[in-house]
Amino acid sequence: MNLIKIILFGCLLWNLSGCKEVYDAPVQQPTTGYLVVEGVANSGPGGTVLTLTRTTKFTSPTISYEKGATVKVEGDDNSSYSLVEKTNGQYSIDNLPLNASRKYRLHITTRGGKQYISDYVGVNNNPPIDSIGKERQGDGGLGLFVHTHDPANNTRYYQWSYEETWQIQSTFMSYLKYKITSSPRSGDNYTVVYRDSVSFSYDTTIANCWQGNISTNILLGSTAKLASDVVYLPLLNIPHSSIKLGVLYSVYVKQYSWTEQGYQFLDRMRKNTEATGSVFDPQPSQLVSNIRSLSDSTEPVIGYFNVCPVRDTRIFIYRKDVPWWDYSMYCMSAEFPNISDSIKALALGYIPTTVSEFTISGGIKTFTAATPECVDCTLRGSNKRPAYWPR
Amino acid sequence: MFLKKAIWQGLLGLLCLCVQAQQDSTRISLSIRDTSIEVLATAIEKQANVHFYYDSARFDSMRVSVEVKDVSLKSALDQAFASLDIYYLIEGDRIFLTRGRALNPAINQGYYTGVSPQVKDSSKISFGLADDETDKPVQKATLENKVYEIGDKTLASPPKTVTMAGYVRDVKTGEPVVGASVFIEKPRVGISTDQFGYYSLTLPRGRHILNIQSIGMRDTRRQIVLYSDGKMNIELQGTVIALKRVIISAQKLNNVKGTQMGMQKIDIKTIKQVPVVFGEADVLRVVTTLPGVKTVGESSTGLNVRGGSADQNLILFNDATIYNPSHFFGMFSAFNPELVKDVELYKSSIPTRYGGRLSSVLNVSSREGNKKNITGVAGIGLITSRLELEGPLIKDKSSFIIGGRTTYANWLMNLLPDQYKDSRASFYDINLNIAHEFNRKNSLYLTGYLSKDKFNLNSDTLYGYGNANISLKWKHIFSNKLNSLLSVGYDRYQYNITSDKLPLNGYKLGFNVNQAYLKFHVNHYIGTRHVLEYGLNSIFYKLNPGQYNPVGDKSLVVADTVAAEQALESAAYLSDHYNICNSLSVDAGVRFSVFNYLGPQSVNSYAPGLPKTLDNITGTTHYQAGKFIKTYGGPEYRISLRYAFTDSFSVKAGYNTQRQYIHMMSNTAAMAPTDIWKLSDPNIAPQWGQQFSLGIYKNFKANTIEVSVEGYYKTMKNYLDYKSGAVLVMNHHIETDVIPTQAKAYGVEFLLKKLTGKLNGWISYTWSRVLQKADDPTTGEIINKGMYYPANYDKPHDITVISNYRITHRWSLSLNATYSTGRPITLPVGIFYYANSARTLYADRNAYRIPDYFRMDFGVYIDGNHKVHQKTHNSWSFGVYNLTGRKNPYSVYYVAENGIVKGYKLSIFGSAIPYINYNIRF
Repeated sequence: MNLIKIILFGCLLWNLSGCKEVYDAPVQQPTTGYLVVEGVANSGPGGTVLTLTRTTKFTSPTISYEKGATVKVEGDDNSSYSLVEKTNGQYSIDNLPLNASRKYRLHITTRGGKQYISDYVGVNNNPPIDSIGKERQGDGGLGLFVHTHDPANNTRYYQWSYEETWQIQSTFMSYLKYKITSSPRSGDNYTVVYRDSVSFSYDTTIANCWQGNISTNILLGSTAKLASDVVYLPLLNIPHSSIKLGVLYSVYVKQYSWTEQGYQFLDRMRKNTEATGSVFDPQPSQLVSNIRSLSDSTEPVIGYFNVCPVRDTRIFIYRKDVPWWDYSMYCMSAEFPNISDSIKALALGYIPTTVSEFTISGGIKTFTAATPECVDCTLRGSNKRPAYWPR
Repeated sequence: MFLKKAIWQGLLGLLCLCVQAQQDSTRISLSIRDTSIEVLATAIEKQANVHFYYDSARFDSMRVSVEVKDVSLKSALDQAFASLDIYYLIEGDRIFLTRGRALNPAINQGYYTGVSPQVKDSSKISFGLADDETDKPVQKATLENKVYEIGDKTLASPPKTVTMAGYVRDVKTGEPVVGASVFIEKPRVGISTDQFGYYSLTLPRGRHILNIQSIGMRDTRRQIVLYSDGKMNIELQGTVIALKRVIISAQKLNNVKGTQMGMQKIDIKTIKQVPVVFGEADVLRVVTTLPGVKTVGESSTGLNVRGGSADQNLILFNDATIYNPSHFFGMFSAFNPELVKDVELYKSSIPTRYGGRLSSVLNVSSREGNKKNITGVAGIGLITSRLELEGPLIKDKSSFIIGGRTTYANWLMNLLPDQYKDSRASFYDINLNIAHEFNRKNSLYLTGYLSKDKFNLNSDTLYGYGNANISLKWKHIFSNKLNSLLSVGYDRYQYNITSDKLPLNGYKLGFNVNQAYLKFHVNHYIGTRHVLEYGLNSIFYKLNPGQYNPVGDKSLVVADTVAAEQALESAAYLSDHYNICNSLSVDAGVRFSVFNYLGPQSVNSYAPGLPKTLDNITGTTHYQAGKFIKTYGGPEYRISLRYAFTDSFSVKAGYNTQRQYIHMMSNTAAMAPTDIWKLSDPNIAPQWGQQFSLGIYKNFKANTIEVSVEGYYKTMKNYLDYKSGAVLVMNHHIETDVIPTQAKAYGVEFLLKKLTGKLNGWISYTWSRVLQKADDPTTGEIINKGMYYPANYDKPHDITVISNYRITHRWSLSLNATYSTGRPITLPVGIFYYANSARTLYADRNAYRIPDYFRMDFGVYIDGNHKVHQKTHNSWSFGVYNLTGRKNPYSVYYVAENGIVKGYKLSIFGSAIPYINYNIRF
């Protein structure tokens, strides 16, 4: 329920400055340090990564990685697979040869020798993602929807995560650069020269870049109340005229499936941490994990061990696919004489782009220059082209 | 029950304090010099159980001096009047004084039987009686100076005591005056009129001055002579369009004199003076300013009375149960202020005729229509407008009143930023009351109420809810001493949620609760000292706890229905209001309630001693329609006791128990429109509560200032809390998601009230706690390690000042201030990372509090001119809500946004909010 809006409505009605204020309650912080286990054992193709961290004090929110632990996935057929520690509390294995008719549990031994064990869980069904739907919204934005179905009607509880990537292009190509010559008599002397005096081409390393974003919300969907196991749910929304669709956009979607209890665990965590604060939202509730400490059964553990084949898909959206997108970066260029004193006085904050006027001899008489953000895309993203990006 | 024993022992102890004087043996001591007859009479009345009767006009120039010690009454009188032209006659406990000539006992006898012509003369001389009148069917007493005769003066054997009864009505509109005090001073006998303005008084035969006092009416008196049982209707003059401030005379007396504890009554004029948000006079918001009443927050009309939850209040609107008393996200209460007459709140000594809720009874009464002329009121405000029309159907016999309210907030929505432009919110409510008097013994009342709310907030999810109520009441008067009220009615509350934005998931969710009831109530006056109330109630419930259906062609939603629940709640009750003597009275009653959970139903059984979870279901039993599946029941005791040390100082004590068979299911802090109700069943036991209370009441300055201090201690059993992540909607086995908890509440309430004079208002302060505990491991979840933890509405300190200053008859100013401790909340104790985001870790429930609450409101009320004979009267009200603009936090919460956790403080009103309202009466 999106009833938080009700309150915002009341606020906005009377006080457009808003009645929601940033606030930090003076809370006494106990030391917690409970184990947090995140990740799904992938019974399908592809690797499995589990991340172990510890809860920290609210006042010092740094990630505390659990290092040096032994992490195993154990089957009820006495099979056992050890995960290998990587950096940042990650424990991974490339392929888990799990048997869909068996049950598995997670067994963690920390560096300090404390043991944590999960209940045995079965391998959930997880059908492939059918498609990612695109729908223009009333406000001009583009809504992306995930479409999945399980003909066996046996999956029911889904979770998704996504990674967005989009290409950005500099508005102006830079064919020119400043050349500084120093002489003891007159100090620094600035002139504009071609970047490449052979091919006269622009600097490709600052013309195309990529930005990205990963989902930070717990995205859940259930078909438990539907006649058939068919999903068509909103995944994310790209606001109208956003830079994301300025050139080319891609989203990579992963789909997990859960048991009913596992789904409730995630849904509670979502409600506790994302959907809170309005008058009508439920109060925070305890998370019920299927992982417990062997030495202290009352010790809270955060996480829910789950096994399913992880499904994924990637789509691309070109700007031409979304008419009237209206994205543009407002960039201006200005003309400067190619004279050291003028450059020093006026143009040093800009990056030279193209020749504006030639001298009779073919030299650069005046040139245009623009603000760095309009020329150098690495100021906003990485110029490393992702491997999957179309040429 | 040691408790009951203690109470009865205490009662017996107090009995000894009653002075049961007999004048035969009475010894009198007087030391009086040169005073009026009145002083002498008062002095003797104080020492002997006698009353003087004389024509004060004839004695006002007489001066008396007397000095006696420990003599009989007769010799005291002899000495006092020895040198004076005064004669006395002692007749039982009455002493008649005459001037010039003695009253002959024989003549006196004749006066009562009315045989001798001389008698008439003498009665005229000594008592200034009016001329003989023929006995009219029911006389209408409108004049103060006229002497009204009641009964048959020709009776051969006149009764010693006489019962008179009748209606008290407004002379201008013919509407009944409810809760008016009708009393005589000597001996002190009095009663309040019932909801139809009916009173019945048993008095000694003879002449009395009957005082009538009521809110909004001029205090008045009637001179009567009682011969035998008879009827007299009294018509009162209203105060003209708030020229006078409301004088709560009835309260003045009730506060000290009544046995009721923890009872507050506010009339609509007082309610309208209190400035509120949007300027819409709001019954519930004013109730929250009373001591012992709290709310979770600003947009919540859910009341928490003495540590009770919002569903533990029985909210009655003309006897109809209102399940959701709020409109517009809780910004307005469901009651149209133009129709409301007054509000009564019972916090501790709840009369036996009410039951079924643990904490309180809030009784909102609406007016009866004008029986003489067609009149009406129209009002216009920023968000709502109101219309009310009333008048006679048959003049002086029957009347109607109809009122409606609607909102036009959509224009405001259009002013909102784009993201809210598709939001819509609206409500309306309609009231109708018809009263008809067939004859002096039979009256019929029809009341109806309908409300509807609809809103969507920039989404395609549409919320709607509404109340519908209808009732028919028949009042029958058997005799002056016995009258009855029979009511039948039907109440309904429903809500629905519709969403069709996602074609595959389009759904409609519906919930409703229906009840049909039959109530039979009898008031029985026995002698001068007992008022019995007894009766029977029966409510048949039918709840449809959830219907979930697909909406749209593409929807894949599977229709699902949670089986309807039905039950019968019945009660028989008897209470006696016993005036043991002037200073001591007791109200003792018992209500025996029985609850039958009825088939058809499938009931899960769970392994005993294990938590109620799906894994522990041992079987499911199916019951046929009408089958009694489970019966709960038991007595509820309602006892209160008052001892008056003086006319203006009393102490009261009370004990009561309550049972509640219907529960509201809500895991949100505030009362939400989507909360559902659930009946007790074999797996969910009824709630039970008891309360001890003790209070001290003192009035100052001729009863114009009332001070009271009340303390209470309360325990509750089987109050439902929810397991973590409970699913309350469309749950076929809701018992697996709830936990019965214990609760205790205690507190002290202080109230200082001045309701007369230019400056009036009240100051209330409450210190109270309410703590809950869930420590039974077999229930499946232990909260806060089984320790007591504060409930959501535990706000220890709460102080409210309501003040009104009348500058002229047309202008008045109001200023309110309220302060309370912040409510408890659950705050995160740590942080962790999951799904690419920092997230909050919660531990103990309600371990922290939000910052304290403070608000001040200011209002101005301007009446148009006060010429009585003009077509319309108009009035303006305007003011500022939250004058200081303080951003009172409603909640403090932490939310993960874009991967990081942010703390927020959310206030519902972030600035000062002005309002304006215009009303026109015609």
